[in-house]
Amino acid sequence: MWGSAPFFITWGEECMICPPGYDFAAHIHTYQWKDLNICLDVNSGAIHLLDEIGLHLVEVLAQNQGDEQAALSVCSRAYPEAEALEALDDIRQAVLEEALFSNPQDIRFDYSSLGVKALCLNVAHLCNMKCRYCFASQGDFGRGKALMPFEVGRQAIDFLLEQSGPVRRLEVDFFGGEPLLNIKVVKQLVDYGEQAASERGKQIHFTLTTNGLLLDDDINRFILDKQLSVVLSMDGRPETHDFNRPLSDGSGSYSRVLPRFKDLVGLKPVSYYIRGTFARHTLDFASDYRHLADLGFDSISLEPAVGTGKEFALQESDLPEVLAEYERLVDLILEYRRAGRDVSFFHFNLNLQQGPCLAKRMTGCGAGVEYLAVTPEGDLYPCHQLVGEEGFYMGNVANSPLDQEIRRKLAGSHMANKAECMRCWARNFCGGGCHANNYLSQGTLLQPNPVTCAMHRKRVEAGIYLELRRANSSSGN
Amino acid sequence: MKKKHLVTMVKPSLCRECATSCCTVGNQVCSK
Repeated sequence: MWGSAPFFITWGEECMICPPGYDFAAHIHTYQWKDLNICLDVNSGAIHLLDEIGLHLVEVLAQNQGDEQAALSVCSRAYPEAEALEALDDIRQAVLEEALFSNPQDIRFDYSSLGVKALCLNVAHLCNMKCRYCFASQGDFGRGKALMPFEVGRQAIDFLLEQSGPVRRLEVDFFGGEPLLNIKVVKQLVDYGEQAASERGKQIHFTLTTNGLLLDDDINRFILDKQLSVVLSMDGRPETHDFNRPLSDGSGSYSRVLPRFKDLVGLKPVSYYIRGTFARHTLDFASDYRHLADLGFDSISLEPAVGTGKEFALQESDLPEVLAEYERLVDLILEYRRAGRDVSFFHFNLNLQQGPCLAKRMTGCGAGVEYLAVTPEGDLYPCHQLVGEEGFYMGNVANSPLDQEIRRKLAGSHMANKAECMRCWARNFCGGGCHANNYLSQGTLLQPNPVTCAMHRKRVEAGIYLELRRANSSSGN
Repeated sequence: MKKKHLVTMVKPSLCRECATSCCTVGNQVCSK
């Protein structure tokens, strides 16, 4: 592995701007989006705007393995030589600042030694809806209907506190099924968790994912009092939502949940997302974003259906339409910004200045190591999507320790062990992808799903573009 | 006046206390 110092070396007439064998495709990404020429330096996180000559020269340098003279010669055929030399000066300055053609850093640590930080508590393996694309088999994960007793939840929280090591900020998400079908236990567990964490000098941040059918004034007050973050399931336009998310009797749920979500969001919970799913039959999700934004929601997440069922989960043939839809979505977001509204789209939100450290980025979601899912019976799985999956049972909260073999397998599935990810320019934004998605689509934890990757890369490009547009508008450009 | 052909918009920006992403790790914020 190279050191971090910038690299210039002259051999005779050849001047190289980076070391021999530098992998340009893995370490530099240039693209055009509308009016902007954008260059991402993957290893440093630096982002540059280029004019036409600058973009051409960076790309020609990459094509010529960093050979300045060869690149200048090519560039000077298309542009005045004096301007090409100016552009080379700018590029060399960026290299000296370690903001371009920077080298990868060698991060090594024992990932399996980390503590548990987050639990997904499946407090209800049953549901009052029958969503068509549900990866939880309409709520029971194919395991039969069940509600988590308080005692199992208490053991899960004790397990989290014991296994969390030095980490102080812990997380518990109430999930299902529909967690509000077990609201009494949810309330008891929040009270217990607050007290037990406080006694150990820790904090638990609670989140709740709900379809909204059972929200009422009492539950809203509880959400506000206890500062729960909420994820509110709603797919967008009435016809989209009602087709995807019918009630148990087959009728639509849009008119039932919308007023409840509006009431709760109007009370300003500490954090909320209107969280929808788009599937193969609803690829025009930008229209759903518009509908939700026009309803007054300003925190929206619309995400592709996952799973192995080809009826709903996106396929390679859907990609052209999906990628074009992301472009339409960017235009819509800018349209709202011009009208004075910042309607965020979760997958375009990138923190370019103060994001997590590389060690965190390399380990992605932490499933199976830092993040675990708990069934109503207390069984532990690497994450909510692998609940009930053969070969992934890790133990029970009543009698830890965890199955260390599965834990090591998940710990070993970090980004640095995925050859394809290490060659991808978007790796520091996606963290190697979703373990469950990789496993269920590719049959291995170490091979990312190419359909998911293509969508993710497009979302990163969109997110960077939107941040640059924001920076440009705030600087008056 | 020399023309700028490259403008750096984001300078080089690269404990487990930050939020668990779940995946889009790039939108998390460093707790430090």
